[in-house]
Amino acid sequence: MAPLVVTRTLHIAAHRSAVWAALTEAHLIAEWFGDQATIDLRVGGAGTLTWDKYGTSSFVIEEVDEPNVFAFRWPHGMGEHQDSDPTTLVRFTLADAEGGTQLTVVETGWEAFDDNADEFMNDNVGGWQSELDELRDFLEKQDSL
Amino acid sequence: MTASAAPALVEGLVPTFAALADQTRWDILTRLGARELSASALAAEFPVSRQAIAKHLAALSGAGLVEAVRSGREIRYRALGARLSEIANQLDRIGNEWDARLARIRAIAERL
Repeated sequence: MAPLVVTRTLHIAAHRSAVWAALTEAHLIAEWFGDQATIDLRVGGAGTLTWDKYGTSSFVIEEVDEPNVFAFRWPHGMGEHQDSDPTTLVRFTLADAEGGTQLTVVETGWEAFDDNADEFMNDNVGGWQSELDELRDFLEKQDSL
Repeated sequence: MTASAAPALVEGLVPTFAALADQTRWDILTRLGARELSASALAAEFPVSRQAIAKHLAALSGAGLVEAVRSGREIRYRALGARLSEIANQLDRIGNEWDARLARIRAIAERL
């Protein structure tokens, strides 16, 4: 069976250390992921992402290899989660590229949701949709400049 | 060019919508969008008979939504067109969310 994988990559005109900071420092995370964030940056450390409108989600750090790899697992949806709840793995890799850094994110583990995968993904999409629409508008404006 | 292509597209979608009007068929297509499966494997996953699965597969195949592929001694079915797979759509949307987040990360890192 083909694995269910989400992969995205982009070039950033900044040194890897700056990209690493954006990914791993709480006050910077809060600028791209949620409205507030906390992080205990070590393998097994926990973090939280809070959306003023939707609530709080949590994640657990799986890999910290500065400034190369940062990965965490998160159960989807807001509120309290059990340890047994299925999670997806979000893994960022940073590589030197001409004039900056190539940042790649790979999200895997959807299979763990099994028969609930459709439902879960719908929930996830629903919770993010309005934020996403705002972002898309913003990005399209940026592109057209 | 766009104007002449549009009616054909709409026309082509009518049997597609008809084939998808049934929830079980939609579920089968979603499942096939994730991976190729034989009729027996599908029958094991849905609370309907093997014969019913065969009928649904024929309807989906007639609408051009799935095709049969031989894999060894087995005939498996696969969804045609990633856009028709609900899972593929969901993954696309999740990927778009990452695009948006990565763009924000870029803006932050380039500012630092």
